[in-house]
Amino acid sequence: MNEHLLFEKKEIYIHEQPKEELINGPLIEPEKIGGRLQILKNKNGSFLRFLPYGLENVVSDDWAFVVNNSVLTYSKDSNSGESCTFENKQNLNKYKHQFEFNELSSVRRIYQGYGIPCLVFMLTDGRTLPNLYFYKGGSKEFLQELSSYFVFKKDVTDPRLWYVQRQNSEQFKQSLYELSLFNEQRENVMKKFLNEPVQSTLLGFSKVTNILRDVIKPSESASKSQFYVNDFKLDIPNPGDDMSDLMDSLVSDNIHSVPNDGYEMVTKVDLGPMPTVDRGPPVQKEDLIFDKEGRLFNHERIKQMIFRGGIQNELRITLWKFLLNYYEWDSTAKSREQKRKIRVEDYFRMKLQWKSISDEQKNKFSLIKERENLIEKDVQRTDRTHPYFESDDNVHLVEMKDILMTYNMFNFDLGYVQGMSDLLAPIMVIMDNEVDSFWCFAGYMDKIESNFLMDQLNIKLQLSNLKALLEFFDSKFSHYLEKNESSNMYFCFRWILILFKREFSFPDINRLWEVLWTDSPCKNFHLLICISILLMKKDDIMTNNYGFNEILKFINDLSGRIDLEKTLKHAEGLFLQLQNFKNVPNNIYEIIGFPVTEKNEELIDESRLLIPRSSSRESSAKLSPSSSFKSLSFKKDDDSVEVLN
Amino acid sequence: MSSQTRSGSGGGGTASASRTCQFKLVLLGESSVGKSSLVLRFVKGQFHEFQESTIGAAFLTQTVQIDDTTVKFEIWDTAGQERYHSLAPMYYRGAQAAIVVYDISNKESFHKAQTWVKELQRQASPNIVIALAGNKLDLANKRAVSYEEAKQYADEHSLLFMETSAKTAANVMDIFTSIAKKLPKSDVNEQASRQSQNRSGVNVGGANQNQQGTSGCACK
Ligand SMILES: Nc1nc2c(ncn2[C@@H]2O[C@H](COP(=O)(O)OP(=O)(O)OP(=O)(O)O)[C@@H](O)[C@H]2O)c(=O)[nH]1
Ligand SMILES: [Mg+2]
Repeated sequence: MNEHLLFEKKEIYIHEQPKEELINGPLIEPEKIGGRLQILKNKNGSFLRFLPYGLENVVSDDWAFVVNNSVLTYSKDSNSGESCTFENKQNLNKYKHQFEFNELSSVRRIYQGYGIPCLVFMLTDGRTLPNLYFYKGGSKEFLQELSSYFVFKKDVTDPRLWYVQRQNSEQFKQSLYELSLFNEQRENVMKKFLNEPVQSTLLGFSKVTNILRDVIKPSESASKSQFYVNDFKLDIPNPGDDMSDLMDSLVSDNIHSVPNDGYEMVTKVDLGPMPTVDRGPPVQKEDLIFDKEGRLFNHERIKQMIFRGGIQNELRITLWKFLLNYYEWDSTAKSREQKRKIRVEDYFRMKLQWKSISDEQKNKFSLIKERENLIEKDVQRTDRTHPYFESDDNVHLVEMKDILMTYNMFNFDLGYVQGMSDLLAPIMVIMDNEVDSFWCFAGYMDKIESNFLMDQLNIKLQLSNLKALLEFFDSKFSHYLEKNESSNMYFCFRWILILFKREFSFPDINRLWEVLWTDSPCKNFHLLICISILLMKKDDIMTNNYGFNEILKFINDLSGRIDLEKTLKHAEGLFLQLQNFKNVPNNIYEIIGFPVTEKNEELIDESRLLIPRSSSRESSAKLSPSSSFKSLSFKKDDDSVEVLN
Repeated sequence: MSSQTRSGSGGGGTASASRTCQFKLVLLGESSVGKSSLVLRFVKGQFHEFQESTIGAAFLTQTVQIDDTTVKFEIWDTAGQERYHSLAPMYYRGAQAAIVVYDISNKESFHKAQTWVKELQRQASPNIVIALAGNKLDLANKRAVSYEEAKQYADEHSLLFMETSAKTAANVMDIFTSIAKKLPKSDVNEQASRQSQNRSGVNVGGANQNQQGTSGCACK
């Protein structure tokens, strides 16, 4: 290995989300994996590497002690004194990351959740490295160092994003210049725009909208920072930077363009400001009010609370049964008891139906044999890293098979389709009971059975609805996808088929599903969630110029990296924008299911209830249903902008 | 149970004098035969006993060095279940290579592999290089498809053939390298970074083209 170390920065950390079982309750600090970020060179060229402590051959100030597969590392650091960690060495390997310089597509510098600067590297094939946190600072310095290897171009829409430009070393100087913008306050950029409008506009249309937006925004800065604090629960040294991430996604520019002889007509649909949405606390035992006969007295309110804040984990075992139609919402305790008896009998009757098929019979019953094979294969590989399903010969694996086989008898026309075991697993963990899991699963399947039909028509319909929504909310991004062979939205297939199951941790998926099961605030709310994630990530896709392949990879790799609460807020914000916008096209209304003319009144009432009680008045006042269109015409070639009005 | 033989990227060479070719490769085969596991072994040198089923499709890349040529594979790993069969053409469209996988301990999966081969020979690009992989070689004591039978079938249909094990890594590199060797590497220009063109800054209206998905030209 002939490697030369060219540059190194120590005390860089990767955050690993804590194991699922630990975080059903309060927020827990992520596990931090420390290491060094290195620039190296070998005979093939330069590359960048994150090397976790414990994997290096040479140890300097810090030391590591290797026992069996584990490494004890010791390090002295100036702030917090000394630290000792004991880790499994085999596990460390997975945190080692490296890429060759010609694979780098872009790098972004942000302040993440805890106010620590971090770098995010994105590669040309759609991979994203985990966030690299610079606990001891030095991210700027590192970027400066990198800039001697690359020509960086600052993105016009996202000031924290630099992408690698390869053709031409001419722009090298420009890039250095742009790097120095690190120190520039946003105010300065605005001032520059105001003083030198012409030069600034030449920087590009998008930047102008950014700046204009910032000029327009200050009045809202109060609510901005509030939002910010809610999001991260911590004071951040320079909120400006990270805020723009949030604002970019929240105030998504809706630019509808029509090609027109070298000019493009750009009409900006103004949906009004993104309403501030607050989430609430999860439903707790004290919130449930039962009447004398054990009827859940306030179930409408409970449903709203679930939409707003989910359910406390211990209470899920009760409330999921209502959400999944195991019990009626207005059932009495007595009728529930009866129902349960019937459920148990029914389940075991159906279970017996397939259990009692003899081997001889099975050999002549190829369909059931085939399905059993498929189920067995999938049970072996569904969520096996979750402690509930971890060990081999685990009774829960047998239960999972039995439930799926019984469901096959219950709904033989549908049978077993891959993806179902994913939907079942979280329910089993919550219910911890075979019969209850079965019926809750059956209730869930009632809601989304059509996702699994042979013809796949319903999936295709949802994907095309998703495209229509995207076109409405962000036609620029929608066009980008068209140009990159992705207008069929197949990269969202997994999201929709199993309702984000593979994208979130167990605690998050529990939360998301119970929110969706309330059927609030509108039909197809899950599509607004898709839109919301896409809008938050569109800059990454467009700036890196990802095509069909890379988009799919990028979207697949978002798994485990999506902030659920932020997404839920944003998605509800999109809904409120739609609700308050006067000129929503009919196809969009059809997708989200309102206004249904006579019911209109009622629906609006209900949605008002959904706005958190305390701030309902303010928030609705904020929604100015202004349907103003600003017309802009701009010429593609030189990026010059003309405001037509 | 996971072992590391090479780290994801940085393995392939990029000496600026060498030429770079890029090929699209798709994996097909019945559910659970080990398609994802083969890719994971090839790309990351890892094996996961509990590899989850693929929903939709996954995309990965890996480079191999063949003499003075760097071959970059763009790999599409598809979902095996029959229900999702209709999505497959989207992924094998424009592919220059395919690995059709079966499980040597499962006869049925070998039959399914044959229908995939048929479909590819009928519908995919005419010059597609097809390899047949009999995976789970480590389960030889449960073998249900003999080497000879599969070899004969492969010969009759002009397929590359190897028995592999994603678990032990047996023949995994080899099958990819054999494919790389068989792919036409003519028409080569020096080093290209396909993504760097056309980045004129402003993106309103989506001025950038990105066509590598369909381009039939493999080498740049
Ligand atoms: N013993 C053994 N097991 C393997 C091998 N390759 C894969 N497996 C196991 O077989 C199961 C299925 O492997 P996958 O790679 O998920 O199969 P797949 O073809 O991608 O399946 P789908 O995504 O459903 O189409 C997993 O449990 C793997 O651990 C192998 O070479 N030997
Ligand atoms: Mg797979």
